[in-house]
Amino acid sequence: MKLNVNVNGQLVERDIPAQLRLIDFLRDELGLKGTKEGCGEGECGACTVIIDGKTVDSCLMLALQCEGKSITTIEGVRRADGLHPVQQAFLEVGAVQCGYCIPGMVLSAKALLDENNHPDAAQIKESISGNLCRCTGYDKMFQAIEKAAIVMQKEAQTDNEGL
Amino acid sequence: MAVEQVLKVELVSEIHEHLETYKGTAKMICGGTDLCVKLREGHVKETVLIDISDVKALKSLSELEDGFWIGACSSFSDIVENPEVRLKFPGFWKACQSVGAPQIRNKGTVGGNLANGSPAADAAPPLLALNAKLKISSKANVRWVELSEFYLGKGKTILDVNEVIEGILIPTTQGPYQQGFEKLGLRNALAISRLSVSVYMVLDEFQLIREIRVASGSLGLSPMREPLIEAFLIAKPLNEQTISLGADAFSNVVADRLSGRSTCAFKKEAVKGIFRAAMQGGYYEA
Repeated sequence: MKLNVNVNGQLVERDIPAQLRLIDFLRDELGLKGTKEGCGEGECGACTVIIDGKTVDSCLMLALQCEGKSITTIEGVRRADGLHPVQQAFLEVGAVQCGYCIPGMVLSAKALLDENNHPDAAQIKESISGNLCRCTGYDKMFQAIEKAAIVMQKEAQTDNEGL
Repeated sequence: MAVEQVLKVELVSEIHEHLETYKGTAKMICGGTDLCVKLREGHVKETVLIDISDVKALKSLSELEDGFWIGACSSFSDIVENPEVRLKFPGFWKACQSVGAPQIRNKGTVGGNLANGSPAADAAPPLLALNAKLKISSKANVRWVELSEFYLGKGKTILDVNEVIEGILIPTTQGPYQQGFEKLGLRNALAISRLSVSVYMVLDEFQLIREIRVASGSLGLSPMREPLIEAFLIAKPLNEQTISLGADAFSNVVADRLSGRSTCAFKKEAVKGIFRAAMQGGYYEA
């Protein structure tokens, strides 16, 4: 069946099987291997992507349900002039060990900060509550998100002054 | 058998048409948080999926003349972000907020939660306590059904193959009330509830319980009202003794109902604390 979606800013049209999950569409049809499959049942969040501003588990959606929508995967987070502040902060803080959960973790953090760049501790924890990590213990990720929030606050300020 | 077609629809009338055309061979998909897991495991026998996740008419949250309307395709995030729901139905709001994690709440819908027929559905006990009714329609017919009459057993509901739940109506009530919800999961996020209780309560000027509705999840084949607990609590003064005796009564009910099950010993104790917490509900005065 025909599917038209916007993936990381690019319009994509494909003919795909009805039962294809979004994660398989992204990985196998488009070759975007940054989206990881952990559990396949919505427990781990490794397959998190952002659809129209909201995080979803791409293992729990059929690709055809995304008709006409805009999807952001980890490959679309980087900016033209370098890493996204969340990515940069994860590197600086050293919030990564094995790395398998990181794409989903970064997208959950980005979705939070895009909506609210002054999150409190509870909001940060809530934002990544659907992303399991078995290496880090979450502390450094928490610190990284706090750090990224400060960068994004400054960016928002500069943007305002520029207007 | 694999799914051969996904039909994306935008109108309720299209849902009705497809349900008639593919009677029994089509299934509706909305959030997909449960169905996609079943698909992956090969547990779906239908070959056509009707994708109702973009039917705007089923997503509204609004105050109507006779109650508060919740479109069946409203996601848990839609509900949690709605200030009116938070204010008026504190127990229901808390239940929606306790579902899964952000990714699940962004997709999972209240209609799907009920239609699945799971005994652990988080939205069900608080809606039962609020006396909610469902608007169910097919091409030829519309009917209103009390949520308390919706379930037939585990995974079984009265929904016919050509019917869709359009939404849920929480009837307007007069005067102040309180509503609580508490659930026991194995961890905070992403936990399927092992036990949940919701309480709706109206007190009179002497702090006597004038009206009470208690509902539970995961304590039987479907979410249900707890008439024995309600009968015990009605007209009693709201104080520590009443709550404590109510908790014991609840424990006895659970012990009887789950007798012989491995979870019985655990749940008959756990229900006391969960009931106690559900009695400390949020307060609302119109």
